[in-house]
Amino acid sequence: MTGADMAPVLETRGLTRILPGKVPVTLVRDVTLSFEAGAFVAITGPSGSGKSSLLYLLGLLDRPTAGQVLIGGRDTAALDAEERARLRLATIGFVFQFHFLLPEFTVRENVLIPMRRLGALDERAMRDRTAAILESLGLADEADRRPEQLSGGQRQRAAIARALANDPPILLADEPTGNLDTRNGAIVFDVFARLARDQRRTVITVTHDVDLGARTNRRVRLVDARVVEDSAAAAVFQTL
Amino acid sequence: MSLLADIALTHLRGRLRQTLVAVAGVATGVGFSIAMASLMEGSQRDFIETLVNATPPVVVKDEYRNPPRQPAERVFATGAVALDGLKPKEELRGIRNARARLLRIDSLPGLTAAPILRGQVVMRFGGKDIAAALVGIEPERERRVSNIERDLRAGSLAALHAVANGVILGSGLADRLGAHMGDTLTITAPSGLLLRMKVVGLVHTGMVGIDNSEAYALLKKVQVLQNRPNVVNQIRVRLDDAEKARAVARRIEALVGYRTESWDEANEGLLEVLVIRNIIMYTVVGAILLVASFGIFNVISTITHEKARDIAILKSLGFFERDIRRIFVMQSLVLGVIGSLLGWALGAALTTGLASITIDVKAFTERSGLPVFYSFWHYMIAAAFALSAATLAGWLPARRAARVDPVAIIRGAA
Repeated sequence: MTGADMAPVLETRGLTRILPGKVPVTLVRDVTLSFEAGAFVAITGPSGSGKSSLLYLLGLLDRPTAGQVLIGGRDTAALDAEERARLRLATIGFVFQFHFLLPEFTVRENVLIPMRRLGALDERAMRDRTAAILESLGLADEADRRPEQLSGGQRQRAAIARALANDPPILLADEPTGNLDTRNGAIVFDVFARLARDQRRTVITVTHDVDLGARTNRRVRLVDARVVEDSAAAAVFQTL
Repeated sequence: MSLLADIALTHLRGRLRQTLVAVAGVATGVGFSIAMASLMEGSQRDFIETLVNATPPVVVKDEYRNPPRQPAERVFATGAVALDGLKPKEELRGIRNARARLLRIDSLPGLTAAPILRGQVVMRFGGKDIAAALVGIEPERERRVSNIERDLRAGSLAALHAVANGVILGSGLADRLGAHMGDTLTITAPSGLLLRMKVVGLVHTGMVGIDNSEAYALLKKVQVLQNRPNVVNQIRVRLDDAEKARAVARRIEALVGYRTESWDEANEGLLEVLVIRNIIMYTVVGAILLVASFGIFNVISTITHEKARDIAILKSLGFFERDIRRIFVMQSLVLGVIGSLLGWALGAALTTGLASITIDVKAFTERSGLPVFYSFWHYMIAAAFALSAATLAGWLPARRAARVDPVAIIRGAA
């Protein structure tokens, strides 16, 4: 491993998110984590522990009350809404529990949408890249179908394909297997593992499936908005 | 096609029926606005045209705009002098030295003048007495100034010379008297003089007010009848460009000293009615288009509600708020543009349809059939208004949609 490879792709420092109100709700409290390229991380914990909230903060969908999110070493706190959106478009892929594909568009068009929005490639390159992504996810034959014509597993893979559209170094998944059966859930996890291992992407997935969580190479456990366990930190402690 | 337009059109296709209703709303609004505007402007132009044709553009009258200054005022122009019981100097009615003034106006480029003595008379025929205005004219000059020759239904101007005491009646006046060509009327003037005159022509200007009450005879005869030898009390002036009437009237007034009215000043009351009519029309047209824009607001609102999740997704993918706004404003503009185009077709069809309807209206002017006027501007204004209303109708829900918090929606859906 080179030194550059070891530099954190995504980092948080003292990340805190409190929902204001009569009774303020703390979603995430003082979370400091860092993720390297090629890491495949499971964020686990009981429901309401702040897993999804943390993921939205990492993905720049939400703004922290305190603390920082650094992407590629760059602090995102000072960015305005459009700069955050642009950063998200180019560097972060999202996969949710529900596939969230646009229902009127085919699988191919859904994958093309983020590419066209970014506009980094020409028409032909976008087509080729879309075909390659769909091929790698076993969706080549489904390219011209609409989401409603796909099975649950196919839809979720189509959603992953869309998340990969702009070749983001970071992939965030919020309960991606929550609506899938065990077999399809395993397939999706295999895809994530491959994306982390072979393509050196940082894959962070929220899950409460312990079996699937065990297949990642790092587990961060949240309870009551705090990190209570981090297998990477444990490993460091063990080596000491 | 651009990505945003792609998404916008896809949304509309998904709501085809509502989309069509909204488009139909705009089209109806635009179409009826155009038809109404063309009818309004058509009748207005028809009215003004008749007015301009029937009345000379500029008339010099035998009166002054301001009361003449009395000798005391003239002598003590700046003094605080009040004189009581002063009798204002009476002037003989009529334009003084009319012939010279006429020639002076005549010599100005683009202007032609004709003298007139106009006075009230009572016409008697077959036991009927009807008050009328008898206008003394010089046919040679008059035919160059007014359209009287063109408006003749029967007889000729020349007959005024050919027949000893000839008179040309307005068509409505003739009807009221029951007089026909060749009949002889007894005409009594306020002077007490009385003249038997033969109908040698019938004139029909289309202005009901004129046709029902005016008659024409030779200037000399009228001067005799009114016992006002050599008096002229109006000079009618024709100019090449009726639009300049007001300015020309000012110039002539400065030149000859007498009150000089342009056709639009003389008919200010009537023209004011037209202004009010236009205000009413534009209010109604605006309301129609505004109501049509509610249809657009409705459909865009529905789509933004329905697509809240898609909006959240687009935002989570990295779309800007203004991208989202643009998507929905684009949709309403599509509705506005298609609606306007269909509205143009509808408007043209309605206008053509209205023009072909024949009805008999006798208000200020007579005509059979509705007067319509085709104007490029009616189409432009209606479309511009429709598009502005559409933009606003789309903008409001679009702005709200753009503010959707993706986290809230995604949490809600999970």
